[in-house]
Amino acid sequence: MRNGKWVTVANSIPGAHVIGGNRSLGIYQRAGKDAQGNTTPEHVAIVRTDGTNLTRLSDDGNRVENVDLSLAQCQDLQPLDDLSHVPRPGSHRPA
Amino acid sequence: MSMVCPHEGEIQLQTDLVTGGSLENWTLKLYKSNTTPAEGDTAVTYTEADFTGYSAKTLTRSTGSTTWSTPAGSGSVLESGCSISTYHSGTPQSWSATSAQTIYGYFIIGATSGKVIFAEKFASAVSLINPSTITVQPSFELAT
Repeated sequence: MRNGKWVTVANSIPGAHVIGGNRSLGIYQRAGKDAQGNTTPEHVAIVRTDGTNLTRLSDDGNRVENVDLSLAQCQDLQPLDDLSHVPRPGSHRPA
Repeated sequence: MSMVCPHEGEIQLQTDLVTGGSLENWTLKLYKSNTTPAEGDTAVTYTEADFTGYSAKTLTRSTGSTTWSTPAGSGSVLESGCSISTYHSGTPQSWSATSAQTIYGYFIIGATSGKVIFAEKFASAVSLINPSTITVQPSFELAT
């Protein structure tokens, strides 16, 4: 799957943008390296209703973190090809 | 994080590739919205930074010591052997902030076309304070 691909998962995630009645919207991110060479594993970044990343308070309550799902956590991961369902400003598929 | 070349960037790059001729410069911008780049993005998807000391930077479309390095088959990020070019290698693009703001990543658009060529979210957001500095080393790597 290409990096940046819109996807949906069957996970019920409070605050996530939901399409098709019960599927949470996210963006597939392939594994990569940061400037320090640390590897970030592939994951799905869940988005909220304005298309930006959904965040939550960390378990220790000390920081805000993005709601990212590992592929193992994703339930019924499906690609989303119809971008008319995407709430993000300006998002489109050129003709 | 890995960069994303959205659909409109793919079309712009392919247009450049097959038509050649005079190429538009690119513009490097930081963004302050918590946005993970995605395939359908356009420039309005991102909320551009506006901290004190910020301005977008021009990336000139040429190869040279202060612009893009000559592409070489020594890619380092995606896989060995792919082609890579770095902008003003060893001298990252830099901004000195004199106001606070959280920066999540950067995006590059065509200076004339306005198309998003590619975008990348930082692995961790950068919280700028007064004073502080943020740097970005643009690098373009191709792999199949």
